[in-house]
Amino acid sequence: MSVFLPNPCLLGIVLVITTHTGPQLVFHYPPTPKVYNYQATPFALDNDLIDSADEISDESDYLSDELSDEDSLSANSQRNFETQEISKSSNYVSGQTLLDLLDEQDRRRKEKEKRKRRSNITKKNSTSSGSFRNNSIDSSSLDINNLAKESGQVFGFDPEFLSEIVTPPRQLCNTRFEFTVDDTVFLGLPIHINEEGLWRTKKQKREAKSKHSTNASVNESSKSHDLVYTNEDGYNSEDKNSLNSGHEETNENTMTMFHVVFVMNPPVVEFEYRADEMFHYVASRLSLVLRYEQAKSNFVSNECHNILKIKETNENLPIYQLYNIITEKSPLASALAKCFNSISTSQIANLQINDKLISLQIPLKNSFRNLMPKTTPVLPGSFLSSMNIVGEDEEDIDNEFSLENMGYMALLLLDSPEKIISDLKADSTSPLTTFIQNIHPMISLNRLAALSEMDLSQVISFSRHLIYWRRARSIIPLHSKSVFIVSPMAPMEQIPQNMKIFKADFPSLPSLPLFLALLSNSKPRPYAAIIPSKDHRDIYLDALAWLMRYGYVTQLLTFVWLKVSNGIKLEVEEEMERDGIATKRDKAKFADISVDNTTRAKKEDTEKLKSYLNGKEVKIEEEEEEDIILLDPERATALERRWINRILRVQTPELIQLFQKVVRYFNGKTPIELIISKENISRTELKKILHAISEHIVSVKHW
Amino acid sequence: MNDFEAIFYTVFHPTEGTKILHQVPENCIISESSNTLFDFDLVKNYIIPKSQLCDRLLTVKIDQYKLVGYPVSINAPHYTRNSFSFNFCFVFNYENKSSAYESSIRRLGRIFKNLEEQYQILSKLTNDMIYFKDSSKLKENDYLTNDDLLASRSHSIDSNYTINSTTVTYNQILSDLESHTNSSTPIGTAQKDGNVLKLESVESLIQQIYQDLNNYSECLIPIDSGNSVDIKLFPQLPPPPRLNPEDVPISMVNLEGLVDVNWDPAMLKILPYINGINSIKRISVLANSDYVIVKTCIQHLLYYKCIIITDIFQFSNIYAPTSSINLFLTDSHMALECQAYVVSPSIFKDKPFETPLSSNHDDDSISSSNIRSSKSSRIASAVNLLGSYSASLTRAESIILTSKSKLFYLYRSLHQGQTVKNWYKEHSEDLKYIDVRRFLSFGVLRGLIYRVHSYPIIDSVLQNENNSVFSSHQHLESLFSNDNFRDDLSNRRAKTLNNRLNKLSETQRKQVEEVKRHLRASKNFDAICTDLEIDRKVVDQLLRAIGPYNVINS
Repeated sequence: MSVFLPNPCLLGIVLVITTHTGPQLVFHYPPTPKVYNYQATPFALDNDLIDSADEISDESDYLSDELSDEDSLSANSQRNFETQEISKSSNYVSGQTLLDLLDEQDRRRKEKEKRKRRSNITKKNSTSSGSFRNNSIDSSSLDINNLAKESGQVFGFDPEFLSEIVTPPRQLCNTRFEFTVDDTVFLGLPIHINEEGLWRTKKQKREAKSKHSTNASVNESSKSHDLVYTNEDGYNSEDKNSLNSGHEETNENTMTMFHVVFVMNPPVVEFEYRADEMFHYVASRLSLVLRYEQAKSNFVSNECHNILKIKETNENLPIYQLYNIITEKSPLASALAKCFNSISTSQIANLQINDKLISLQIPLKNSFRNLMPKTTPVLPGSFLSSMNIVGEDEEDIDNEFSLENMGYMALLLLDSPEKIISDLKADSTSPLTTFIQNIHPMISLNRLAALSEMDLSQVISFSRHLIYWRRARSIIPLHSKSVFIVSPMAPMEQIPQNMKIFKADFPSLPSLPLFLALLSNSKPRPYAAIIPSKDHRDIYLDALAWLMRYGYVTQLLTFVWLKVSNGIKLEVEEEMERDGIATKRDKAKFADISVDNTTRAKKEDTEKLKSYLNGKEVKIEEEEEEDIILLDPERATALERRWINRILRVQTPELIQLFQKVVRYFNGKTPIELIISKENISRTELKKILHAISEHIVSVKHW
Repeated sequence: MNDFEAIFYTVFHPTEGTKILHQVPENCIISESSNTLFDFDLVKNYIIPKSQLCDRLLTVKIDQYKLVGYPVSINAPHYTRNSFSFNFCFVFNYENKSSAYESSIRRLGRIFKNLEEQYQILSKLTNDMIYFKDSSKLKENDYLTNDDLLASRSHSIDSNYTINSTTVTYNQILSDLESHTNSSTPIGTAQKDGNVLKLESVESLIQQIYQDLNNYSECLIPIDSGNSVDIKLFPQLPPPPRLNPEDVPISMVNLEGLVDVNWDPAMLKILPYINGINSIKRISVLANSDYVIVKTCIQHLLYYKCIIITDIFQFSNIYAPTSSINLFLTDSHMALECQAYVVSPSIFKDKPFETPLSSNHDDDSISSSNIRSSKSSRIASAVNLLGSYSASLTRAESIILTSKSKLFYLYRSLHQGQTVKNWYKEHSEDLKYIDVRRFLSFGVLRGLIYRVHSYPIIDSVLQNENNSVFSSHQHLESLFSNDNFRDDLSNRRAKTLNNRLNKLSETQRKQVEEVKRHLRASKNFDAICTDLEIDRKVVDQLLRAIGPYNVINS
């Protein structure tokens, strides 16, 4: 299991408020949350008991003997796995599923034990000290789950007690709250009114800083955990008058604090990561929206009042009926329920809060720049490209490189435009609708902006929005002359399902496996090579977009560096001697690593080498380095610039001009496929210059 | 190992409530000055909580700190409020992981829970009679119920202890405490039933825990003749990943150097076969051990990062650069390491990584069978490498390191759609002083290149499993009516099978079913060959028997 797989570990959501009578549990969801005796979600992926049944492997033969009693367990799990398999997100359930199974097992074992105990009740005192712990845990976990159903306990506690423990003193409010019981964490952002009795103090200009930090990525969020969510928050209030409406209310049941608590049981080694994720992307955002609505129109306190009233009048109803009524009648309760249902299954939660629509999600890690080691599992269908914008946040604009290139990238929609438009509930005449309809994987955002008559910055912000909300992916505009390979992350295990979809979408094309075989059975070549005729071009490009969307193929890009041969170096040296400049030669270096000090002796290198060779006494001869590879021509030193000039000496003036335009991209970071559109030069021109200096160029091809 | 900031010991005082008795460093949590880590009053309800939360590991965040403790509450009639509560609490910086400490903190709480129940060790060390009351003054039935409760509790906790809690009376405690104040000996140095208490004060205890854990990541503090606070911190590592039979372990350390007498015999048995060539399945065959046990051993080694997992090396493999190939240029050590690692094999015969050449061809049933298809190139390379070996011999143990730029060019020259065999042919001159297998495995392990796996796919098997049974039967019939397995299209409709062929087909039929099972699971050639213990050529034939197939290289 890895942090690249979604695993929300969300057990439930609890809403607690404080009034003059003290803390009170208003609502929790699901109605009967599971507790698992506060144990962490185990890692299910490498559990042989589960695997053997689920996976076609020879292990099942080995294990079949051992299993007898566990047979039902694996059968059970297999069923669970199968039902989940269709959805892409099957992985995150496994942990929870395992807990359910273990719970079930516990129950059975417990029953067996009970029977046993009854039979030898006389020997009761001989229970050994070793088994005590297990027994006690079994029984307590059982008791908790049974009690919960009977006595209305929530997460193993009385509702009153639970509301007490998640109600921190006021000084600990408006900042991250985190309290764990064994491996179960109660996490949230408790919101307390300030001294003036206001939910938010109004500030005309909110500091950009604070907003930035609330939106920082997860990695940073762990640093910003201590961020105090002062009562000046990030929501621009449209109507100033509404702010003080909370003040006017002189209800005796005045609420002074509310707290939406997220209860999770992450695996121990991922604890911090999962908790940070939940707090940053869901808990804090939801709480801040609620605070805004509370400040505006007492939304939270009214709703709480509402829910408590419904609970009171329907006290005698069975819990599930009661919940139906509550979620039907209270928008807040229904939003919390929806939030739980979506977030706990790694979906996007689209919530309506007091007429305001908000979307919450824990972003999926499904696009990568680098290939993960083969033992690290990732989401099937993940997209692999060094051009990927990773770790992006809704409003994260730190990524200078990707922002600079964004205009030259195209968007690949992950769904049909019609569906996206209807999902977003966008007006058919709105600019967003036009924009989405114009999106085409062959059209760069620059052109898209022109087509839709929009600002590039607006197009980029729309694009980022679509990407963040799992609607699109940014790619280099598709072109039939580009080269594509079957991605090393291609979801091979999903071919049986996906080939049916492919067949339905492209009935006239070869089957998905054949198509992928065509792409991968020879040296990588331009996509056009597999297009049978000009008439097929469009449909083949559509198929290509489909393959990109499902993560089967990725574009093979070419990255270029300049290399300086010994001949050039020698010539430059002579030239400099003629000019009376002293030179120092450094044979050991082969790449101009900036940290590499030129004075570093070769001897040192050899010493190190010897240590790598287990200190064996041997005579080592080293081949002389022939070339120096320039890593960043844009920041070339004076000597390096001389080398470059030397390389160009034999070229025609127009080629030199072209070269000057593109040389800064010869850094192994910008693919030549992107240079073409960035510098607005043609493929043939670029080819010409690369050909002319081919001796002085080293290229690598990857995604 | 992450250090922790502080440790403190809290009890519930009968009149003053939750109270810190000792803290290390001094004055870090409560002090006269305002220079404390955090405001203790804000969290004291989480430090000594209500009974529902006792006997559980609790963590609470306050400011930039995280407090981890295991609160314990003991009910007994001799305590002032019929109960005594305490907590040893650790303070961590919120950024630091506390998971390595958690089990130790839990254990610390449990040890002292037992010691307090048996000897009132903590309550007596408070040196304050206010924690006790004279239970003999209690009403008779009240006393009994409490006593019953306690008795049953101590039974269930540890039946080995025969202490009868009724013997603990107020008077006894009183006399214990008095003798302590009169003499300078620590409390209970001469306890009943010969138990010798070594703990002098809680303050010195937590002082020592604080210092030892922060300095040595472990501590060993004796409490009495039977108990001690032994803590050793282990980092919490993620569980090892799932492994496949065809995965090949490569050792990262000298495994034999780690062996000691405590090692599991199963582990010792497989150790000689971990050489970067054998797959897990093959190791289990060579070591004559059960596959599941071998796999578990490999997972253990992986968990402690003694090995890494790579692929079966074959000359039919395909490798291509990854987006991390730049590291070879930017990481100044990598090129050097690579130069040393890939150096031509002959001289390092006795080193952990043997070359395919030095292993015996005849018993090479799995891995060599996979290579068989490219045997000719193997031999060619063998000749070549042997040639370079003899050449280097004449030059008296000298080795030649390939230049770094050449190594880089070799890595970049790998690409999709090209087997190692063809690549080798093209670059044999540059590869003169290089061990090809080590060169490629270095690249894979450092992420510079990746192995392009080949997946056979038969559409009909995936599309409709039921229908394909019939058609594959037809195929089989045609197949075995033809002695040499040649899949002759014109023979497909031949229906006559004589007994001899029918008999022969039994194993083949089984293998075909196996192959189909793998096809449905989208397994690659490595997996199929390893599982069926047959080589690629035979798999190709079986596949052809099932139907026309495509190979996807991913």
